[in-house]
Amino acid sequence: MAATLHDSIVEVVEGYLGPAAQRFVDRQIKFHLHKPPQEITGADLAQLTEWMRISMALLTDNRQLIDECLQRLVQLV
Amino acid sequence: MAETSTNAPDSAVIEPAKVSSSAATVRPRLHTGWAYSGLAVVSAAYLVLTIWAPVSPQTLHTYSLSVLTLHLLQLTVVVPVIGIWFIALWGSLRFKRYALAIYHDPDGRALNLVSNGLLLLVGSLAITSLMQALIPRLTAVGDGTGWSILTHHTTVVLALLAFATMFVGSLRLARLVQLRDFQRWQWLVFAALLVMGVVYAIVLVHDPYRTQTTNPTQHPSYYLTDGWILGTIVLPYLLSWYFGLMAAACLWMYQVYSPGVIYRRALSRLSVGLVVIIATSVLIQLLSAAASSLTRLGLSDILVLLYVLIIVYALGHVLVVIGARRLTTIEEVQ
Repeated sequence: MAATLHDSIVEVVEGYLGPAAQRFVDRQIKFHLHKPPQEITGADLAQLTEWMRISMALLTDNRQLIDECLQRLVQLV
Repeated sequence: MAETSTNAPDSAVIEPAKVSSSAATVRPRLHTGWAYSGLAVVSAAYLVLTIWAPVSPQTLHTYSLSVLTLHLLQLTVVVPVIGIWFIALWGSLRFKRYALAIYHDPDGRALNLVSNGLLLLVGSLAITSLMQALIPRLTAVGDGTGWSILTHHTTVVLALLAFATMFVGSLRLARLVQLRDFQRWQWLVFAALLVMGVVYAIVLVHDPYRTQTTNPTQHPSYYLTDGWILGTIVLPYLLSWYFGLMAAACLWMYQVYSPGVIYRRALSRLSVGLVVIIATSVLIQLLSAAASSLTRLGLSDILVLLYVLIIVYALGHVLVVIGARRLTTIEEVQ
């Protein structure tokens, strides 16, 4: 079965948040985009990455790391 | 922030992201009041039993102490020990809460098992200390043999259960990172266990009071024959130390090989804290087993050793709290 955009997002975020990645991504999508995580589309990505920038800033002071993660997410579409 | 967040965030108008403290999100309900109340009762009983224990004239003579000085010295150990119990319970419950918050995922279930083992380890420390505090009083009325044997076996059984539970949980975590380095760590643990076993054996062999004593002021260490000591105390202790050290190794493997730069940093505090707690607990058990030999050391040496262990053990729990708090933040940030 082909990987969905949701799977790809989780895979990228796993490089930063490990096993907590899927929980983090799903929470961001549900809470900020108000939709089931699996229904995320390319059109939602810009909005999601902006929210993730704010949320990840609470977890690390390393801006470079956050930028790198979000850059990889943007490149998914 | 939550109600109007369907549009892309605009840094000029939005509130910053927050860490939710709402129980409706991920934070589970954990009724900690009973645990703290129970520990308070055990602590009070431990304090009273320790201070009111019959004073051995031989102890006073050995260390050149008056009864008052002995009680004051006991207080300088007992009060910090009780403080450590509360810190340990606080750390364990904080860890338990984090594990329950992610219980629906494989890492959460594994961490929950580790936290159960840690709670058992902390609980067993308080319970067995209380049981040990009763020994002098029961011995004074001529009924200490059975209680002493029960205390020794309770201590070893609880240690075995706690470390085995932690090992099962941490092995599941290590499997999540494909058991990398497992063989190497197993050999290191076997080597450490061999050293500890030899030290333990030397201490036991040189303990003239391990099975019986003709000295009326000195009670036997175990009230058991050598065969029973080996089968029901030494071997279960060695097994529990194997589980404990392997649990520490598996936690270390999981922390080193887990994916996620940010996650790993948060996890490192928790895993280092757990490794410190396990290593200190194993060392405390080894020293307790060698207690009779320790009496050859000077009082100040014994106190320094005790204080160092207490401080390191407490630091382990503080690291667990810091790690669990950081990991919980990852799970709660919105």
